[in-house]
Amino acid sequence: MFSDVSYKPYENNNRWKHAFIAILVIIGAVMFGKGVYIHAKANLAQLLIAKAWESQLKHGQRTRPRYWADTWPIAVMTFPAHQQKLYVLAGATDAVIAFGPGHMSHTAFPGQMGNSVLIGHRDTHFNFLQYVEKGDLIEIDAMHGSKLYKVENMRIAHESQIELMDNSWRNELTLVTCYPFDGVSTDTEYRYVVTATKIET
Amino acid sequence: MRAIILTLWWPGTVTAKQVLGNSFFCVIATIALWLFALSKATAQEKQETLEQEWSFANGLFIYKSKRTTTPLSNASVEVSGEATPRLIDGMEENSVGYNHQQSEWLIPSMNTDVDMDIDGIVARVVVRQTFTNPTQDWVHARYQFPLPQDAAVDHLLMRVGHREIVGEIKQKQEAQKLFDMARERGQKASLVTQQRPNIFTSQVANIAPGEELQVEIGYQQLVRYQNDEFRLRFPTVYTPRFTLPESLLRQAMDKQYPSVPAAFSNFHEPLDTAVDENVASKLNLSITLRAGTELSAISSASYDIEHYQIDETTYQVNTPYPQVGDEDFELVWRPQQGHEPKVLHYRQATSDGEYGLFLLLPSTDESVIDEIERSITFVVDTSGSMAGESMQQAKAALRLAINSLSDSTRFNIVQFNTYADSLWQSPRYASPETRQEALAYLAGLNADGSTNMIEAIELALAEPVEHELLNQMVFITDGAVDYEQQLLALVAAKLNQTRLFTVGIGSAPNSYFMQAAAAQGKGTFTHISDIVQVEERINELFGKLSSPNLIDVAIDYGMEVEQYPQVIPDLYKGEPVVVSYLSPAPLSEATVSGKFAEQRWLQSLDLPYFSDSEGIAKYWAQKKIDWYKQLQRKSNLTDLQRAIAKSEITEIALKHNLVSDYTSLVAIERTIERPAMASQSFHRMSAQSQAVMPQTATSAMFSMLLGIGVWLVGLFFALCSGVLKQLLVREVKHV
Repeated sequence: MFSDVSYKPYENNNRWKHAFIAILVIIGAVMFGKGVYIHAKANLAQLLIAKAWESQLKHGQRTRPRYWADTWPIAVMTFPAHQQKLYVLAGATDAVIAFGPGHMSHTAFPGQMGNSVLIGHRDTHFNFLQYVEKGDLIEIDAMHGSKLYKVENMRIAHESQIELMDNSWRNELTLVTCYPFDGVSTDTEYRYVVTATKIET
Repeated sequence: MRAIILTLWWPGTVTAKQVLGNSFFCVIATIALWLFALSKATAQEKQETLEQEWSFANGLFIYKSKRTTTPLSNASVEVSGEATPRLIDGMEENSVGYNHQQSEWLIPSMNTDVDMDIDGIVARVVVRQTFTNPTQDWVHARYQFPLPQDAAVDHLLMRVGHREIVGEIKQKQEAQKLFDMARERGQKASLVTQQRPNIFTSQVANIAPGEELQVEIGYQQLVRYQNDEFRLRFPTVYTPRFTLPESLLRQAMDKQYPSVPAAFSNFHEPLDTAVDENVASKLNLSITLRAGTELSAISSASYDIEHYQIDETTYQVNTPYPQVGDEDFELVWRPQQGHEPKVLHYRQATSDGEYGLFLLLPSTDESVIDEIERSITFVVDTSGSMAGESMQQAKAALRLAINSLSDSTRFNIVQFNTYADSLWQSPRYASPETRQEALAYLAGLNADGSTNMIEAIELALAEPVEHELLNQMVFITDGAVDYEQQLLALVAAKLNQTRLFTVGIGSAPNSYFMQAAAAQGKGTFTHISDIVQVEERINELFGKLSSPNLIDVAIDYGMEVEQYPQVIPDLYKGEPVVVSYLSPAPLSEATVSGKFAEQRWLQSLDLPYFSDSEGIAKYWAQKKIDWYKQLQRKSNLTDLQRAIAKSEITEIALKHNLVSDYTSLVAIERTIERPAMASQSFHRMSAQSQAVMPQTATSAMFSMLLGIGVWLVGLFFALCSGVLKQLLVREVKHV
């Protein structure tokens, strides 16, 4: 009897409380999902691209993973020491590097003379770069054969150090990703840069 | 992060979606900030551990240590430098000289003061830049800066404290050698070289820790006179140019147009640059304007200026406060009605003879306008660099142009980015239907992809030429291309009788390329920097296109002279032509001839003695250099001819004190200042804008943490309000 009286206003209030908590849970799920989606996209895309690459090898023609895609695979990059196999895509726009490491189109083509600059997301494809060590091998399979590179240097650079992407007269590979690897903020000023040079085989 | 907070408080147009989003952010902003701070802190720790290392090189043990201070969020000076000198076994430690890899980065506080002295048609400009070295190291600095495309750089002065060191003109390699030697020895030195026609590089060696150093660069330039207005531009923005991959470029050009190898030597960073208020140097202008007549207006479209009259024909123009612009500075002045010049002739007597300059002004008579049957091809750049306002400007310009076409004119549109395509196979007569079709095509254009001008020019000029028609091509672009030499060769090879008009869009078009291309095609170059200018400039251009004023122009001097340009271009309405010459003796009269409205036209000019003008000789020298450069662009030149052109340019440039492709200005202080053991570092700066490496961080982690955070808030709230308890209790009851 007694408890009933004091309980009534509570009931009314509770509906709002429930609604509020439900909204928070939903928003939380959406946000969390967004993060998961980025990873899922990055991983799934590589599978799709693998198919495009195979057909490209077979037909010798540029094949887009999806007919609307604004990019196509140009090389396969393998890190035997880290069990990583990545399909490098043409172009280095945000839209491209969501699917795989991108090749900065003004730099040398991977496997060819000059400094070839590839960029990738620090959270997904290039996350493992933090474990790469001096002397690690990188294999580049492009349409015109495969080349072997050896990691020469890893460094943390400021974003303004664009001379790291300058062309050179050696056959080089420069991998650029954001730093710190476990950072939360997207507007970091630092980059992690791995440089590798071609070794004669 | 900052962007999130900004959207949070931004009072502008608010949609329901934003309100929802914002109130949501209010709830979790605190958590986000906390997480943000946490991540920064961990980043800092990592930094410290990775930045110290020992290495063994060239028989020396080198200890590298870098201190990285977090930059102040709004400071213009980022203080970071190498550790103070440390000696290890008597050996020099730390990074040395030009070693990019071991250099730290900083942006020194750098202010730009510009003094202009305009005398009639010649402007003398002095750009003064102050460098402060905030580090504890000796610093070598290098930066690129833009100058107007017709600037003749002839003066370099370095000021340290009260001492002044004046630069000397030297052959390029020699200057570089002297500079390198001075740098190694520890002398203060400065070097100005020409990168490309309108891009110069300045290097300064051995700036002491904490020292302030001033570098002064002087050049002269001709004022443009158009439609009764005088215009002078000072570029403040450096657009990184788009570079094709070398392999692709060679492939494209080798087919038909042998390339000029020199053009490959300088590669640039084709990256997006942002002009950051905090980083960009501020501009301070002071202009003395000796107009020669009374003026009715002085204005500048993109900068705040104040001006006052000193005497009847002299004015002083200043910027009241230092300004940062993402647009070039342009000063415009207009003589009072009735004081417009009819013909202009300037001269300068020297020991070589008499240098002179004619300004041929087209007739302003409106009564002679006859419609000539024409065919116009519009070529529009839709590459990624045009995205945003540039594209809007280009579209507005094209819309205006298409609507102003008369029915007897044929036209076509070609657009290009990574590929090129055209509206129709061949030009069609302007009619309501074709205009409609063209406007629809225009509306569908999107800026994206790279700049493949080669294909566009090939496509536009592939159309069969009808010789009885006057073929005109209007080329609209921001011209952010790097392979300009190849393009000019292509234009020269394919143009035939087509007149080429170039329209530069946006704050920083490559006006060298566009002017050279227009000169190649006997047309003109129009620059549109602001959307409000579109209508005015396009109407000007189309007035011009529809009425060639004087064609086949020639000047009879009555004696042998060396004249540049050797072929005088057509005169269009509102577009004067400048002709410079060197004659062995002073001229007393000259005759200008040409074809005006299908009739032969002659005018004799009396040339009374007029006081000497400074800079006429230099202008002539520059035009002569330009002529040789044009020659070098030709593809079928023998090695001997190339060598002759090079030695001619070098000779003229050395004689007239000009920076060119083969000459540089170098200033070296006599005393050696830097102690041999002091640490040095190499810094590359960009004067106005700063390019950065691409951003590759995703918000994945942020989103997931945010999600978890929101759940936690929900849980916390549920706990506090007892709802959770109730729910549980209810569950229990039900059970």
